[in-house]
Amino acid sequence: MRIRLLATFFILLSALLGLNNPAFAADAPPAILIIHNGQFEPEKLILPSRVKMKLTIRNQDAIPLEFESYDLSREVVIPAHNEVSIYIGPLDPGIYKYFNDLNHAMTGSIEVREAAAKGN
Amino acid sequence: MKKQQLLLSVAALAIVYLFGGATYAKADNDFIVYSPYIAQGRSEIEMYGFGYRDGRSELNGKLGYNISVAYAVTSWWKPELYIGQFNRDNKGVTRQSGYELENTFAITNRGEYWADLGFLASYIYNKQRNVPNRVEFGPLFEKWSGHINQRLNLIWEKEVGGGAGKQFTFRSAYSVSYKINFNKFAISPGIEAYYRPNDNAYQIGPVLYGEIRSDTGRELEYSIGIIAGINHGAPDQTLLFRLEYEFF
Repeated sequence: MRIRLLATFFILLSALLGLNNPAFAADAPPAILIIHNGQFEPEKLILPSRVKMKLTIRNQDAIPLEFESYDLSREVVIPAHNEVSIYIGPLDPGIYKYFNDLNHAMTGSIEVREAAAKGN
Repeated sequence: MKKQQLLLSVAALAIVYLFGGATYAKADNDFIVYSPYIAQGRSEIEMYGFGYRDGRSELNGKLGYNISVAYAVTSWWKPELYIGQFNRDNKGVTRQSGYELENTFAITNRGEYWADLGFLASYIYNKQRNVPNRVEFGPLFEKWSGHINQRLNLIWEKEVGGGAGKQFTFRSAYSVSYKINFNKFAISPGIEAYYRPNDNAYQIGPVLYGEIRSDTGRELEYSIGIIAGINHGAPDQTLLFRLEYEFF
């Protein structure tokens, strides 16, 4: 019984982890978003389309921040003087907005361009 | 390949539900849908509980609540100490049932896979005479889709120590909610469902979640709901409540 339960758990886990298997920008360095003096830097981040990207959000301020985006379906707390990495995408070309849920005056966006036009 | 993996997941879940354990166990203060998310350095003070309303005297008026404190030591480990677990029986007598050390582990990064994965591992010390201590463990899943949040917990429990039974018992909890955000607060109407085959109780109902935030990361979260029993063994109605204060 115990073995069956554990086997079931690992089957479920491997299926779940394998569910999303898009193209990764695996060899590219992570995109970096910095919070400094209550501002997102850069205010507009440019990323390639149709690949899953690692986005590192680095909080250089002395207060925490809650990165939230309904466009990207992500919500994550970044403690003060700390950083958190999340994954976003693959995304179609377009503009994706995000904000600091602890201070809605802090906003930014990610512009997703066709891969050949990737910048930043 | 994606459809096959989804079907495999559903099949695996069906197997778990069919063979998840058959021991008849007392319902505990576990009306909560855990999140796998951890914010390093954040402290939490929490209280949550339940109360039954039912036409049967052996169920009506039963309630229980927990009080706990937590601190996220790392970005992937948050221990939580339940400094009190209390239960009131249908005769109106309230007793402290025990203590619990609960650990939440974040296994995957946000968005790395289709759903975010964590793991729960707890040790429950029971103060009642002749009632064994217990361990519980299992995966925690969470997924954001725009404004919609979903959580799924699969929890196994096992008695340990003297007088412990040999069976694992299983329970599951699921929640879905829609976040409506304002500048300093948010409300999220949703639904919670509890699958408790070993208590012969299956329940579902509406829950309202809310949060009040400050610029410095202090946050007061609350939820209140009423879930209905959808089988004869479950209480007709169960009131759920939760209050949590988070701060750095």
